[in-house]
Amino acid sequence: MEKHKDNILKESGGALTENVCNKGEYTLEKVAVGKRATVVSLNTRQPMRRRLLDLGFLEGNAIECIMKSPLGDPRAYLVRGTLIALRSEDARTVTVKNEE
Amino acid sequence: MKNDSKLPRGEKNEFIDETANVQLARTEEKIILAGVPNVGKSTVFNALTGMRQHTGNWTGKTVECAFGSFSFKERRFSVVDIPGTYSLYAHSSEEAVARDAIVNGGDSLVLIVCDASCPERSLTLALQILEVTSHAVIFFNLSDEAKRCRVFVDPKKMSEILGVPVILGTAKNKKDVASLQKLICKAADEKNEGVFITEYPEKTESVIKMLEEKGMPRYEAAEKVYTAPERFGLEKKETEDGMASAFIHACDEICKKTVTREKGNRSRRDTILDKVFTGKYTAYPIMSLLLIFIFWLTVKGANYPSSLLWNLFSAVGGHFDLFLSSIDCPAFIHSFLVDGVYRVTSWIVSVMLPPMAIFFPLFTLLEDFGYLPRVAFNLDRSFKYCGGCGKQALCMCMGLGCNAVGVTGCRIIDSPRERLIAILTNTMIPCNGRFPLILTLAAVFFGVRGVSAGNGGLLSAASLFLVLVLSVAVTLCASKLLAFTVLKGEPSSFALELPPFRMPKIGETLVRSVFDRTVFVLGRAVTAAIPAGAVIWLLSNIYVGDLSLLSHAAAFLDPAGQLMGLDGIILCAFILGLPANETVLPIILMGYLSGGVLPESDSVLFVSEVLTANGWTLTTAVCTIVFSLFHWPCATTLLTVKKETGSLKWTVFSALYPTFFGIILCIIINLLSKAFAFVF
Repeated sequence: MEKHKDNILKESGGALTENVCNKGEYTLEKVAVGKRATVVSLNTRQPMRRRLLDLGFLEGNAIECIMKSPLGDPRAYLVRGTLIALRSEDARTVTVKNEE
Repeated sequence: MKNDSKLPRGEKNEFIDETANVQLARTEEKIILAGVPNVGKSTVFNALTGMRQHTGNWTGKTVECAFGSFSFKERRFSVVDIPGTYSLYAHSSEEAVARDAIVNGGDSLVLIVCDASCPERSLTLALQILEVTSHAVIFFNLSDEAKRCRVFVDPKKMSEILGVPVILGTAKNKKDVASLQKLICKAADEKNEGVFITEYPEKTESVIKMLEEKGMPRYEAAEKVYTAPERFGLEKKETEDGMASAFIHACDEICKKTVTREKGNRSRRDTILDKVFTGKYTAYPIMSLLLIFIFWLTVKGANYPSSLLWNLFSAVGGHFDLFLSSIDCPAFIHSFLVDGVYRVTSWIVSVMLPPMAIFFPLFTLLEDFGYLPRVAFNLDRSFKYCGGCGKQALCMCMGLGCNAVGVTGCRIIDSPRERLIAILTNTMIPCNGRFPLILTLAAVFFGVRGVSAGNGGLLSAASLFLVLVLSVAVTLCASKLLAFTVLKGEPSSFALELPPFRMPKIGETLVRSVFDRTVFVLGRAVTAAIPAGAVIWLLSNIYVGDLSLLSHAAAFLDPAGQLMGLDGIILCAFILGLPANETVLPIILMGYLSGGVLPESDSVLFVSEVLTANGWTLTTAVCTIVFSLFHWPCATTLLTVKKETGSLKWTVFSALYPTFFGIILCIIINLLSKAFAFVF
């Protein structure tokens, strides 16, 4: 279902392995504008991984998708008070679930 | 005033600014200004140091820091503003510089600037810094924003928990700044006991404690464990994640006890502004209109000061002229100095200074307001498709003012490959220096009357905008071509912070920016314009046979010029315009008039007469504008490219690549117009 691109190891960032989502979980880029979600896990490579962790993409933290670019990509997410823009291929490495 | 600091740290006690070669005196007490991006750190720096500051590179890196100083109660402090970073651990060169500054800072007091309107965001870095040194002070800036967002920080309680002095305020308020300076004075002498220690997950913590018992400082132990967890029998991913999250969890715990908020996360005003700035149907129109407005202001605003400056310089030049006559200076040298060097230099300064003094302050205001990251956000997808990233759009915007500044600005792009693409294509964006040529030709050949006409220069601004659209289109194609061939690679990870909107201190920003620009322009005048003036004069006043060297060169280049829809004089002018693009049109006029000096006037009527008398057609004008957009960068830009890339190969490439586009496009336009004329 996920395009094979997810399996290609990129120059920096990108996914470590194929994103395996459990039931009720999905990837960040699927969160619609105005909706919230809770982080489950990160499937990102360094150095992007550390950057996301420093910003607060930790298990249990809430994320809200605030807006998207006029062309649809990237989108801006609010996490721990920081508004951060992520491209969809990077958002795809973050597994989230519905907010409790 | 000896400080018996805390943890044993590296002894590198000097801040050496390579570019200005200044070694700050050992009698000054040193302060390091640290913080995450977008907390108003620069505002704090400016408030503390006033005009006593300059920028420079951190030792050995192309990362810019600001160095300054201030005095309080007969004590002098030197301040270095290191780049804003999210953590001390990650991999970019900014983070390396920040870490280096703090770890090797010796006795220095670290002033950590945090955001009072969003403490969680900025406190994690503070905790990381406290792991390295206890000699720190925390300043929660933006207290006015915090009040507006109904977020309340308890500095006393925070200070109790963290073990360092904590103060709340805003850098915009003079009283708060004075209190901060007072606190710095006090803290510089004091030693902090019982500073907060961030605990890592159990397994990691026990390894670190073991290393500490062996006498290693905690931060060093943590670094060792983080870089090679396997050596200590720890699992890599789990340890890395655990150590990063430790600071966030600690920060959350602290904030629970010290921060109260009354409302939800984001202010209504910001959400509305963002919806407008990035909305599907509003984003691009707003960007275009804003750009046209800036062009209009620059063109209209610069006109009067330019002629004022030119008249002033001419008056001074008159006196210089008389002086040289009075000391019986030989005619050759007299003319060389007055007609050559002085005239060209004063021309360049008069034409260059006013637009830059308007454009860059406007740009800085937009940046301080927070709009520019939204531009990168809106354009990222298009740039990603062309092998670059959204931040390249910002570099191009800076290039509109001056290509050299645009090239330096490419540092904001993290990926080296994308940064190089941005640097190599930056000169395809017309800089302020090329505006006069484009606008004059537009006025002469397309009837777009300039500022003096009824429309108030709006048509001028619009025609400049159209030229820019062409520029941007070709830049995107050129970037794509590079990404396809020489600079292949996967798109990098892109994480851009969109800061909250903040009203900048307009007056202060304008003054500071105008001052910076003036210094820059005058510097460039000395290094580029003076030699330019000398060379131009020599070439047009040294005769071989009947013709000047310039005429010989023009005749030689004429066939190539004709092929491109230009002529020899035009090509010569572009070549001689290498030091400064502002001189291209005057050299063209001078060449046609066979004079030895730059002409007096550049009025539309005068230019029109000279050009049409020398066989210029619409095609010539179009080709000249196109070549002006796509030819080698000016000398200052080339030097900057060399400095930024550190490679001669890429510098040469940066000269050849746009020229290649210029030549091809001109030839095509020329052929098309000939074909058109033939058919009709």
